[in-house]
Amino acid sequence: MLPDCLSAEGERRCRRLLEGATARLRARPAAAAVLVPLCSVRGVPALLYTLRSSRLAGRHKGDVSFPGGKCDPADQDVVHTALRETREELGLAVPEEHVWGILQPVHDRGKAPVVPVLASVGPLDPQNLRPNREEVDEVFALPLAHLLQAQNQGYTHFCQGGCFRYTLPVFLHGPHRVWGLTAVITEFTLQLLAPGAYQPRLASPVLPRG
Amino acid sequence: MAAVVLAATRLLRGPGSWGGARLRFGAPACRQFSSGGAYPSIPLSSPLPGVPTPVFATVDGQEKFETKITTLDNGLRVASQNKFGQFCTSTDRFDSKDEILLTLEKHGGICDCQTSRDTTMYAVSADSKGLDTVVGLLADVVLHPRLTDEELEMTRMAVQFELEDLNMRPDPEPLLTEMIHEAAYRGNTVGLHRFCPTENVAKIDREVLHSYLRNYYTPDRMVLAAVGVEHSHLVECARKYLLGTRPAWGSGKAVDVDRSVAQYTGGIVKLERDMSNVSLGPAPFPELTHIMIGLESCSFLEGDFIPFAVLNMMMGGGGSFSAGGPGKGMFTRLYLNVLNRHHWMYNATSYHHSYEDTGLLCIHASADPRQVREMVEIITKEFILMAGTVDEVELERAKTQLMSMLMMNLESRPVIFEDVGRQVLATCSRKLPQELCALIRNVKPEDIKRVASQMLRRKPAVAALGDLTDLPTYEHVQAALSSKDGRLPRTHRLFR
Repeated sequence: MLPDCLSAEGERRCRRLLEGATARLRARPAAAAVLVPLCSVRGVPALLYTLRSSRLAGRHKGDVSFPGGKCDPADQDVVHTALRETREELGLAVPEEHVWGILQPVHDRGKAPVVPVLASVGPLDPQNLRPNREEVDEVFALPLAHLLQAQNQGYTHFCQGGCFRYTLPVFLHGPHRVWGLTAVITEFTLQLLAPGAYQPRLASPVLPRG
Repeated sequence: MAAVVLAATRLLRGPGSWGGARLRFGAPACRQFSSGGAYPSIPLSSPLPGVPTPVFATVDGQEKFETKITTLDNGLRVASQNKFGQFCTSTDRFDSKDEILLTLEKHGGICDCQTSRDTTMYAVSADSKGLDTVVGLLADVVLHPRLTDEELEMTRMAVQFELEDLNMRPDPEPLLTEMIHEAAYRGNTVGLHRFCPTENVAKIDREVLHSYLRNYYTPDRMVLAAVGVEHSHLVECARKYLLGTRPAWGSGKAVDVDRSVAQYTGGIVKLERDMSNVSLGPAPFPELTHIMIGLESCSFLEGDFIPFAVLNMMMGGGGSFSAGGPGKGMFTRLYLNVLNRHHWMYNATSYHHSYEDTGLLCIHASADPRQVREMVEIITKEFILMAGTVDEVELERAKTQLMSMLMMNLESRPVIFEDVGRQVLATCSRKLPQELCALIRNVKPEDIKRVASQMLRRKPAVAALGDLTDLPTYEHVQAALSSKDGRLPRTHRLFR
């Protein structure tokens, strides 16, 4: 099941599943977009993550995230934003044909949505990338097999004002902990790539619909 | 020396307590080993003649005995540590009532219950002959609490009193600790309040308590630990009282166990409060604003825990009105760099809270409300200096202080079993003090620098209490902690 996701058959299946959402969301304005890079590190399928620079100001400094950023008025659509940001942050040029589709947008605590764009970037070695040091401190890859193991998965219940609000997934035992929106996007990706193999954790009775 | 103590207590208990040498009761027997007159000069390193060999007290004084751990069929862990003497102490998870006290009285025992953020401990200390009764008592109290309405009503009043007391006292430390946890772990796990909020006190009743007990008081989340007993005897008692018994809340399965992973978020929690009149007595207390700035460290299960503990010791600190003296940390950084140089600072103390999946290193400072900005800047500068050069002498002093604190605390029996209980609960094994000391000795300046730099990359957690008009914004504090020198960003103000 896992090796299939990088095969032509797996790709076709994912593209087909994402077609509807992609058509609907591509041109819709959004606050930000991120790229979910599905790569192959020494033959093993993996997702590529960045560690945002601690020198950045703002709420997400030092966090683990996917390459991406705010939408610029000059960008044609969200896919374009994701690819541009990836090129600026990692020096990695991903051609548009390699984009498989758009996943469900996620909300950063009530603000405008962040749109994840799934693309296959082929075989690469994270050590060979030259990230932009002002924005990215570190690049690392987590194999899908690692993410799918139950002992590396966790969850956190969040409360506010004395009652339960939502549950977010968290992925452990990598070089850095993957949490927050990045973990939610990872969850969506795993559900798409390996259906049935992953037990989703995200639960939110009152999260606004995207 | 330990052997002599053992002999003396046996003597006081009366003749015939063991076979072998027949020592007479009273003064003549004691005089045999006392100084003065003709007596054999026996060095402290060799055993006394005519005295039976002590079992647990050995001359070299090193705690050689490993902690023995057994897991019962239902997941309950039983751990014991050998220590000389007649007293044994055991802990599980619990409540005291008159009958319990009467039972314990027969065995010369005392009991106690303590709760912290992540564990609850029920402790009983009694004569070692009473081990069976004691374990039976603990089992009864943990698994079959009666929770009568009268008890619940009294407990509700006690909780209310504790909450009011918390808000009234001049020392803000418990309140600030709650606030910094809330700021650091927004809305989850250890960030949730430890003290029951007022509106919830009335809502807690028997059903609520039973549902909590059903989910969390399961055998795999419990450890029965004892010090000063034979392991096999303890396991036997555990099997008798804790295996296969049906708890008072029924045998429903635990469904809602929250195994959330603690998630550090960072953030700020402010509480504006008029602190001008907090003195409880006739002497006036100065009006102070208190701040606490914290950063995520690591859990006590990780290897980096020891360097963080040493770093915390190196920062040290305390109140500016401390009497000082040896061992009080007068040469720690917060005293030398902060309290000795800025006489208007009332307090600068460093704390390290560590849990199973996360940790928090924070510094508490208090000063007059008009100097809040300078105070914050001094603390941020100290944080930045943590990742700078570490003087060898300073490091050795911190390491020695940490080791001696560890050893001194472990001399007391209740602390030993708390240590055994906590370690076995978290890791199913126990590191002996010698191992911990070896790990402490291995800490080098590079380790301190590495863990401090790692810590500074994360978002800070800030808690502030009192008059907060001059408090810098969270973004400014964050910028200061990411800068090279720790200075707050300059603001242009027309009136100062």
